[in-house]
Amino acid sequence: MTTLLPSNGRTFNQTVLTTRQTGQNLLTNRQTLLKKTKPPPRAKNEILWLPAFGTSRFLPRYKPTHEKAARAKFYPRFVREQKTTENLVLLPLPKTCYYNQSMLLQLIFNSIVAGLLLSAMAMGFNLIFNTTKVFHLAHGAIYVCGAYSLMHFLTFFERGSTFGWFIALSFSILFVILLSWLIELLIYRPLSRRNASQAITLISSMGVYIFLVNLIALIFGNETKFLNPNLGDSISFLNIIIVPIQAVQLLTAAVFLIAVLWISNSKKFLQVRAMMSNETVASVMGVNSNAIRLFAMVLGSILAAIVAILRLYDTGIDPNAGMGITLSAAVAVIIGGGSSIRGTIIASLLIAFLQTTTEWFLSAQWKEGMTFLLLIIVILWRTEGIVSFKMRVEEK
Amino acid sequence: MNYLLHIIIICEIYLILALAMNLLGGYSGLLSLTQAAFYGIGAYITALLLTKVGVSFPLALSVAVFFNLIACIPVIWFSIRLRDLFFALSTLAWQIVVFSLLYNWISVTNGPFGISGIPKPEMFGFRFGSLGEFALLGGVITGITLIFFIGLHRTPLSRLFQGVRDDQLAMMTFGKKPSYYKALAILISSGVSAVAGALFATYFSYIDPTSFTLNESILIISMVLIGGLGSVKGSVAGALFYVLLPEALRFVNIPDAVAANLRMMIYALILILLVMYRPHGFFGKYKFE
Repeated sequence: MTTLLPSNGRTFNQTVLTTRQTGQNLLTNRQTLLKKTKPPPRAKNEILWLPAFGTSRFLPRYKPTHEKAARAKFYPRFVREQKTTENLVLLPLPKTCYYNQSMLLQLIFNSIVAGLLLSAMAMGFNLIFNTTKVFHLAHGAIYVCGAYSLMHFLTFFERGSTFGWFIALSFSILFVILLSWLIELLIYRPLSRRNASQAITLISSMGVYIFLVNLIALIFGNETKFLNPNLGDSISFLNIIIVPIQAVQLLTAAVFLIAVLWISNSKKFLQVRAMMSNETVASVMGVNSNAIRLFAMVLGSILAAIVAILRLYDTGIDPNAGMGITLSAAVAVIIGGGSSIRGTIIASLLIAFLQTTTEWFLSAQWKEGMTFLLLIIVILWRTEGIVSFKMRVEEK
Repeated sequence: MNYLLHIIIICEIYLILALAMNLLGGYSGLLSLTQAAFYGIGAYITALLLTKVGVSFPLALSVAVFFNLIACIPVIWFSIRLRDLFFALSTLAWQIVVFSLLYNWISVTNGPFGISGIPKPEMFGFRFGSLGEFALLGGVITGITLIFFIGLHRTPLSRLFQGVRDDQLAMMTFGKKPSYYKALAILISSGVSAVAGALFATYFSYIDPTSFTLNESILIISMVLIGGLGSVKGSVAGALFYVLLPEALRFVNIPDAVAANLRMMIYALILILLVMYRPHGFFGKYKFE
């Protein structure tokens, strides 16, 4: 009996006495004893991973009991008592409740990872938007399709084998390429031949988005899907906690960004730039405009699929996940200033920082609201974006 | 019978919304993506006034309309000088900002839990409690809206809206300010949307922010597009079509879980085909070029 009891300052006799007096079983007694004593000091690696949205789940917090107490202290009764909805709505705690010495560093690190992912997405959007002049909302649908197709193809190959995984990855990327090619061929190209306005192409793109997303929801269901990367424990570096998938995200996004930047500096890319600035003149000068439109669609879609797959292993993907990130990418493109690729990267890092901070201090639901407030401010004060070139009046 | 009355009420609500959108999209040439925000603000103001303050329905309705006129001033402020795609984007921004405000301002809107227990409308001592009575009230309000819009489109003011839509430069040479007429169109449209919001809130007696998302805005736009831009007949036809189509699906024995997604897919397909092959819609007199 002595071995079972905790050594928490009380003598053995007292413990036995209370057990006999109350007649309770040992377990409840142990609990009452534990309550009276101070909570044990927090172990170094004892971190709670909250199933929150976005990147904030990487931020360490206190154990659940403490969090519950803190929540009870800071929130009014009606919120506390909604036990069934507690899992649905994750209320953020005031910053005094968190414990992390290097909060700012962690925040910056998380926003850099999110920002690089967003900038890969935004780069694809930028390419498509500037070459085809379509406000490509269906980018979000392609993003979701990338993740779901990988999940679907993985069921054909045995889990765990690296070779099978890469084959599934290549199949899913092929699928995404095919999909974007079909969208371009069947919808965007006929519309551009008729010189349709951007508003009309926006509506058609919305139609494609709604169609694809609902098709996916019909086949795979509406719930969030995520895969476990099995990459080992998280690393602590400079008081920043790095989850392995974050490191993978950082590396992959960086590699793809560098690749796209390298492509955009190559000589062949001049044709794309010509197409971006003036399609008619470019096609008169012998640029194959259809091929370049297709190239932009395919490259952008591959980037979107890669980002989606990285997100699938991290926070998971549901059929409606595409809209939020596509709108953020679109805002990054507009804020970054038209066709400038550097501007897009800077703007997406800025937006990711804004979103991570908002998620940290307010709530995950404010994220998009804040992003669009930023867009409104930029539209009001600096319509041409952060990085912009001076144009002649006739060109505008 | 109750089912039929329910469909009639839904038709009435969407008819008002489609007419309001048609003034913006069809007559003024502005692709506004913020209609659901106006609709939502109207619904929330009515719900709050009826549950928390306890005023009568006509007063709540008029306050909601008045408040909506104020609430669309920011939209006018930042989007009036933009055109085409950028107008759509800035209104989309406002839609998302309003949605996150409704979702997160828990002390006022009760956040994601919504407002419940909204009383049925009561006018001059008569309570529109049953479905039939509510359908009658909705019908009267929709009729008034319809007459208002038909009348509006016969006045010279509507010609000015159409003039701004077709050629801004020409209107400026006539000494008219395009932005003034655009702002007026947004104001009227937002005020009328509030009426639909008030009907929605009192009919379902429960509202939550998910009824006023971007998808709702897109739905309203597609109603007007399929009916045809720039004609009252068209927006009536579009609203009826969009409400009655899923009800037709109900009789084909499709399970509920599939039906919601299938309905959206059919809407989307219609939208794509429409944009590709018939930009005028059913009775349209104008299309986005």
